[in-house]
Amino acid sequence: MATYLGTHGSRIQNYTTDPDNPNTGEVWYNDTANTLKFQYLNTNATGSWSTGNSLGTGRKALASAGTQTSGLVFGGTTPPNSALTESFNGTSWTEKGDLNLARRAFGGSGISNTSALAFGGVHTSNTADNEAWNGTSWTEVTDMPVARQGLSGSGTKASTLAFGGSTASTDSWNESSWTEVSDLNTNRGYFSGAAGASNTSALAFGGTPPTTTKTELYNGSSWTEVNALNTARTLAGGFGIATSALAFGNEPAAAITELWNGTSWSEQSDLSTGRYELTGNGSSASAGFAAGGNPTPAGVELWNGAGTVQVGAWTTANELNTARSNLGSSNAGTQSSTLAFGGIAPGGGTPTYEGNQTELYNGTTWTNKNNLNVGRSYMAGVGTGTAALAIGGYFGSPGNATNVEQWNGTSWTAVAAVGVNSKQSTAAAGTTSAAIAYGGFDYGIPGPSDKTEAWNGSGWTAVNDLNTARYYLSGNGTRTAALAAGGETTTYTAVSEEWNGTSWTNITSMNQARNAGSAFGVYDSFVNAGGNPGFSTNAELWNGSSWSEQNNLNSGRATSAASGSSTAGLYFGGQQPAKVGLTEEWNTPSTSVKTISTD
Amino acid sequence: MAKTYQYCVAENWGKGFIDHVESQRITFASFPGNVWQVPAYNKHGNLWIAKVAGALKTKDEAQAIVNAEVQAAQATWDAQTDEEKNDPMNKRPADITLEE
Repeated sequence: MATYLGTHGSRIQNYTTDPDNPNTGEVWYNDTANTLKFQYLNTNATGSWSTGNSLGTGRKALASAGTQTSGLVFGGTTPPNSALTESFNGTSWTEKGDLNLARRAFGGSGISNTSALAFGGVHTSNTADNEAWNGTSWTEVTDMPVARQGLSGSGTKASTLAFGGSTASTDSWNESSWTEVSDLNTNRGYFSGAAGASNTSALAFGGTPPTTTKTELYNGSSWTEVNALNTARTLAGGFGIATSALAFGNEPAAAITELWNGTSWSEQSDLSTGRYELTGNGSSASAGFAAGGNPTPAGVELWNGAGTVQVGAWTTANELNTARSNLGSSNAGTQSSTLAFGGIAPGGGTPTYEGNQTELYNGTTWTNKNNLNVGRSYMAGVGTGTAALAIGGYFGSPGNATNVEQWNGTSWTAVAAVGVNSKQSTAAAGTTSAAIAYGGFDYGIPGPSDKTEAWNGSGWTAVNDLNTARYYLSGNGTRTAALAAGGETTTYTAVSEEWNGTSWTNITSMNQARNAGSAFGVYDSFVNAGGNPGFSTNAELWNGSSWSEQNNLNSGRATSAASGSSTAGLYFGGQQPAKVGLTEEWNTPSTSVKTISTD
Repeated sequence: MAKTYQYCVAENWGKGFIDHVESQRITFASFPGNVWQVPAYNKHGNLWIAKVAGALKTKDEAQAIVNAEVQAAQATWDAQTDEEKNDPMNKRPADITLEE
């Protein structure tokens, strides 16, 4: 069992005042107020929809299973009827093995993208066909008692309830056979939706004809009519369980969304796109997805209910005065004090590889400052807005460069050159008194380098190599704790390594291989965004144990620069392929201190 | 065929051009020539285009704008010396294909 000491590395501390920068989840005792407090992430006061990545193949009258982070959609009609299956990991869709029987207007159930059931619907005519999904392929299992279309279903692969449609019956599935159980009070098809955890607990709402608000609850033996929807609807979507469900969409294309709290329905924030003949799934009204339908057959939206933790996002900010790529930054800076220097500027049509422009961001605008003494591009940078290093880079002609300059808040001064292992497109981490530079393209090889050098405030020393030689990698952190992520070996790589002050250790690879991304944060809380292939918008967060997909940059690009922390970052410049001065700020939800009642 | 995205041309003015809530609710993509892609048939996408006074473009019109920008970048690259072109760090800008 996890303990507080094990998770946080200390026992609960006594303080006379609240700590300045408590970690999320940290608990402490305020000795002055005589209260126990903890730091928590703010949550959404109301639920809302956001757009997700589109289906690979748009369709309507499809079915689904799973959750917002482990979803599955299958079948439907493009037209013609489709057998396609796509799996969702919370971010992207991947095509999987087809249904054995293409179909539309059918029932689906299941708890994840590796466990689902598809039953009934229309193939060339109504079908009783039933298939089970194991994460890889669909297998024919026992057919339904009666062929039908327009039915609905809920539950799990092993415990499903199928009801309504072109017959009045309700059928219960126990993983091997169907048993007919009590009929709905009001037969209907093309439901607004269904929600339920098993073949003994389900909710049926909406449907046609005529289009209705009726809601019925199944308790394992019979259906009971309960409080109706506020809006009659049909051919819509629904997910959840009998005590917590969501209904969304309507025919003709409507966006209206309602939440069932176990007793009654209440209006919620609308879908971004009104639609019908869609599907959706989620384990409760807290979180789920909606996919497909008319008029956006490939459209996907993600529902995050009230009480879910707010997620980070990018906002546009004022651009650099000089658009450029391959620039350096004080990568330990902040959103209110970060330095950008050097890089490749358009130069009136002919790229200028020896950019010397230095700009300081104050949280609102970039201001020109004193130039680098030696203009350069492809360099690394460390430090803050008032104390930074520009390390190596390109000047003159392709080849290794060793020049290093130090920024004192006003001007640049040459300091000890980086060693013989210096190169271009290196990563670096630290400050003007303690830093490391690692990886890069070494023209002495020529090729990717694994070399690491440490700076002690006056000179450079070779230290232990990276495990994987690479250039155009992303890095950030400190002299004693840093991260190297992605880059290019002979191809784009997702390999990541952690530096402990002495040596590099491989950690879990990023989800997406990339080069020329840019990163901010520290070794155990690090955001890497953008890069190639394709001037990417992708952003990933390393939390010390795994990478997770984050909201995308608004403007995809490569060879940019970045600074800040994983909760308040800055991303600027780059190419797409034109040189840009675009600046974006990354903010994750703020945290709050909560007092724990000890009464 | 129903479309997945819509395109507009809008000049990024910096702070407030895309705010935190907009960025959470819809997925943006930008391309050379101030071309922006947002989801089609989407309330939040439509509201954002109105906010930034975006000039709506068909996919083909947007593609033509992007092509012109990419071709200009490719021409700049092509005009470099052989030594610069042979630098493995210096790759020719690739074409960009917009999605329907």
